[in-house]
Amino acid sequence: MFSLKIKRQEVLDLINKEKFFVFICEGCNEVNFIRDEILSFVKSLPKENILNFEVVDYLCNPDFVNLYLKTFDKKIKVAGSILVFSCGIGVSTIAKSIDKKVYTGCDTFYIPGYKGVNVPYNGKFDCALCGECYLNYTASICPITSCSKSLLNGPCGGVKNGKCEVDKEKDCGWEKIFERLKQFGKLGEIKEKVFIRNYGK
Amino acid sequence: MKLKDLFYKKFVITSEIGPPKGWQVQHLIEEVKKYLKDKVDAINVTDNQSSVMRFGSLGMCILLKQNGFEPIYQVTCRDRNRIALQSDILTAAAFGIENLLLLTGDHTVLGDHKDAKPVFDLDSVSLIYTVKRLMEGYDLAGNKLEGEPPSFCIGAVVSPEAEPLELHLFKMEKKILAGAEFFQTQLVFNPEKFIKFIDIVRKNFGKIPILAGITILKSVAMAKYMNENVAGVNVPEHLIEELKRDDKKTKSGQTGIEISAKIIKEIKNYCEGIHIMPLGWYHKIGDLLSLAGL
Amino acid sequence: MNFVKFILKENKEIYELLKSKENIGIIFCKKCYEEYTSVISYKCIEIIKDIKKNIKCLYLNFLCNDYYNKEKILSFAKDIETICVASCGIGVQVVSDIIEKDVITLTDSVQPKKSFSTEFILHGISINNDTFCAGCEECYLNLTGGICPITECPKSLLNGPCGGAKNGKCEVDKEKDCAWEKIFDILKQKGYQVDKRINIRSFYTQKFSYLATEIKNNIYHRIETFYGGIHLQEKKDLTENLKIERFDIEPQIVKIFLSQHTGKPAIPIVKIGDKVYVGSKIASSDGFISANIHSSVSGKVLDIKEEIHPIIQKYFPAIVIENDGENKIEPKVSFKPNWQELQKDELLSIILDKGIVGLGGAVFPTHVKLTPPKPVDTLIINGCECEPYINVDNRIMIEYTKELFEGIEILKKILEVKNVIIAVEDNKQETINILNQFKKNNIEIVSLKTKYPQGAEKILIKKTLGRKVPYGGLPFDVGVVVQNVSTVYAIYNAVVLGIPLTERVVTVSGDEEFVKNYGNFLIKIGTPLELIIKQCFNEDIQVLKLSGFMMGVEVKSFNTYTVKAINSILAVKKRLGYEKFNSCIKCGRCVDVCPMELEPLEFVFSYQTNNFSELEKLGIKKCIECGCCEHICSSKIPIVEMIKSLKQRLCLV
Repeated sequence: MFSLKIKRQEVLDLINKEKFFVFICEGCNEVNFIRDEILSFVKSLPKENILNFEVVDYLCNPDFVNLYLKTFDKKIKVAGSILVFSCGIGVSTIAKSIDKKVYTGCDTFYIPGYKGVNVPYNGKFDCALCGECYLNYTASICPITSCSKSLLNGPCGGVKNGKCEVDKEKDCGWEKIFERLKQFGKLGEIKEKVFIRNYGK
Repeated sequence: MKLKDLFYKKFVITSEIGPPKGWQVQHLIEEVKKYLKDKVDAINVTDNQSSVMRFGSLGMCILLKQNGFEPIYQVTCRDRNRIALQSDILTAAAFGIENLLLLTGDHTVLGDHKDAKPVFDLDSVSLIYTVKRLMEGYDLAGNKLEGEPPSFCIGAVVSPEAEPLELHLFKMEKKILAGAEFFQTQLVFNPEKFIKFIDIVRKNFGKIPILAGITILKSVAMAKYMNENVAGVNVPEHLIEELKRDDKKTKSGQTGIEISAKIIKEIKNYCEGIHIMPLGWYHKIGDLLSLAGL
Repeated sequence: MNFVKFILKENKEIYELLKSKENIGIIFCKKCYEEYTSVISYKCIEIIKDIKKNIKCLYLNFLCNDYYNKEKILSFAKDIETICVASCGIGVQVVSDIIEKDVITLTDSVQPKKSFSTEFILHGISINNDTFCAGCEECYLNLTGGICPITECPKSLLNGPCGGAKNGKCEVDKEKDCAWEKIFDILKQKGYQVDKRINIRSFYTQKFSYLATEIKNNIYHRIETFYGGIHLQEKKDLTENLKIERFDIEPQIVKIFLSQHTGKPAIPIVKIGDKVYVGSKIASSDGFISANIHSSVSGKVLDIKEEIHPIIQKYFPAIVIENDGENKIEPKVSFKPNWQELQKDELLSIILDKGIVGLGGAVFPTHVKLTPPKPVDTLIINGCECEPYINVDNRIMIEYTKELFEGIEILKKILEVKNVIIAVEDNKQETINILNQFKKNNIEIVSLKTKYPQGAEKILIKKTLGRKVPYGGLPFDVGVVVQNVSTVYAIYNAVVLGIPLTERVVTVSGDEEFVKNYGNFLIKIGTPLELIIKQCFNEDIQVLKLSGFMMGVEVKSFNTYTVKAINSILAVKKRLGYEKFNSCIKCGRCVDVCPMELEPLEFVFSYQTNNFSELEKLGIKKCIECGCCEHICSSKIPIVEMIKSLKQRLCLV
């Protein structure tokens, strides 16, 4: 799932030079709730640079992008360049579909989850799509995503009070795995195994 | 000279140095010569300790060797992938470095290059396994090495006072099964806890040499800071009280030395040696060792 | 291109995992991001059946949606010893955590495409795009003309190509273009200024606390307010400060439909040539669920003929009255001066007599609603007005506060309740302040987070009182009656002033390019729509919606006349993309936004395959047709009209 942050300074620096048509994507507004903030930011920009804006959705779908580019063709021609507030996919898709210059107004962040708009299970679990699932060895807690270092063979020495050295609010993934393995009586199964990640998958 | 050849024959004493953030390291060599010559059996060189970029541990180990000391090459998994790790370890062999200390390493966010990419391609267990393979004449991808395989004494680390202890013993066992031959511990401040730890280790893992980590407490602030922020470290209240009692004495380092000497005396019959982390106070090591009767 | 998401582990490995296990059950996730077919795209069963007999299976949509699937998972896992899961890593972990047992995973999760990239690459909400994003938090697209260096370059280089490309192809794969060559081509071609700075990645990415805040924010907005729903652009600022005013053009002719309410149409009691006044009863309620209708003008009955009904959108009989423009009030209108002295039955008969119906949109006859067959303890006044653009209830709450509260007293007497809640969405903060100043004991003003459809009856009751209206039931089943603010105002007018329902406040609004005159107008029932359109809108309107942007109707023919149900007339932009057929890609969003906790994608599939057998089990009758699913659908499928069509079929079958 994607969350967005507006690149305020970069946008302000960039708009002085050209005239823009702005696309604001609200496709994932139910994930990150930033559409209204983007709208008020866009409305605050100088009108001599931001000639028009439209709120659309699913700029990650090339068919819809073509439809939008056709629908707003005249307004885009008048402006000359396009500024897009969406995740990187939306910006790239528009950029490859039109011969005008396309710019992004946002940084894209990742938050756990792939489908829908609700972060699954309170964001407690995530999957790194590693291609070689370790869950059968780690009592169904993913070591790659629950450990800050993505360690595969147990905790590092940085755990204090069950929390990760990277952030005192973050649980140590391996301590959780260990407790679970103990609970299910499976500690012995991985003692002799040495796991090494295959990044080629 | 491999440390494993010294264990059980004598009480082994090692210390460590953290190289500077610069390339002119001669003064550090001079300090080591002045304060550590003939006092320690080997010197560990930390690898970008606390994720702060410093002069490389491999280079420092080579300089130590050239100056007549026995180095322990500390390698972390934070900064290099498996290719570079194996490469550097082979390089160490060429310079006569025989002792390794293999750890996972602190995360980059704790250091001074927060933006750096944390690598962690391998971790301590898989790195120990990798070195074992190199010693058998093969790299991690299964290719045969040219010439004779290198030979090392492999060390690892453990935190005997961390909780829950079982968690850390679990990892310790994996390191032993992967090929660790001795352990250097995190700082010990509670002899009873340490002795209990040793007891469990002996019962479950048999004979494996342990070097207890010792430092000299410099101040109450240092003790409190470590309790708050350093994993695996627990300075008990009564020691903090002792530091508070005489401000001048603590500042001079004498209180710290007395505390550490006492700890050493209480635990020396239970472990195979100590590892002194001076944190800059190389000049006090001599006093500590004499007071501890070593 | 279907995003694989996960594949089965090798047969050998599965065999090893299961060979010593007994009493096995497998939970299959039906997978996301692939074209919807009923066939599970991976065939696990054949392999497993070779190993074991009697394996129980459970197939679920979107296994990681724990809110939705928890009960099903728990009841499946109850008597099974070994639970296996076939899904991506998230689904496996969720199942294991829910059942608090170890599970066996039969699958490996895989990246959407082989990228060689150093980064985690993510796809968007479409299965026909080979562009990805790494969520790197410092977007470089402004330097690279829209081609991402992180996902497209296997080394994720930021400062130009390495020396490994040959003939424009990457050293990693001869089929793959060198991303940086493409970037330089685009920069040159489109005339971008080439940036000469040195770029260094920062991996000091989202601090855990930032991520934790984002997740908390998502959960609050998506689930804690109430499960499902969507945050629309409100567009209420266009009319929220406009005082209620009478629509100042007198219609020459009004045509008042005999169906102004839910239930049986009223029966006309006038004939051609009759003289009528404002408030004269012209049609009588027919049966229990029906309502009276009164004239909104004074003049002469010209005809009773069929016209296109704006809501039903078919021909329906209407009483045609010529307006004499004098607005003379019906002299014989009944009026009892002190309502406090009346019994509840008398109050009810006034409400029946004056033709009051629910003005929130359902136009259910109010006198029926106020005689619930079960005891009620709470009255909820619905001032949420969760549909965008509309400010009818809002303006009434602001301008007729005293009247509203008196209307509430009337209702309290009729229903014999002590507890009254006025529920208002928090986008109307000033209105809430005004209500708080005016309120008396035992009336609670509740401010609710603005989210559509918070004002839907069942959602509102669940949120304010925590009571769930049972399937097939009504609010009185949980001891509640809900009344819309406009209805309460109409009740006040009827009981205190003796005025029957002949006109109502209507918000006229829309998107700026189409609207000349915005307003909250008091419009007489039967007013020609064309009159309002000419006065308020420009020539080139795209879409005209009556009675709500989400749940209202789109009128194609403007040759119609207003009815009691119309609370808004909106000229809005066409929603692009819904005309062409796109198949469902199982993105899971419709399930996440459905406030009634249904699976709209299943209804779409039933419609497309003409399979009606599962509809009841899927709970189609629970659907309130709010339109959240259609609004968020990433394939832009017109889901609501499909559901309406399916419901009709069910009735016929």
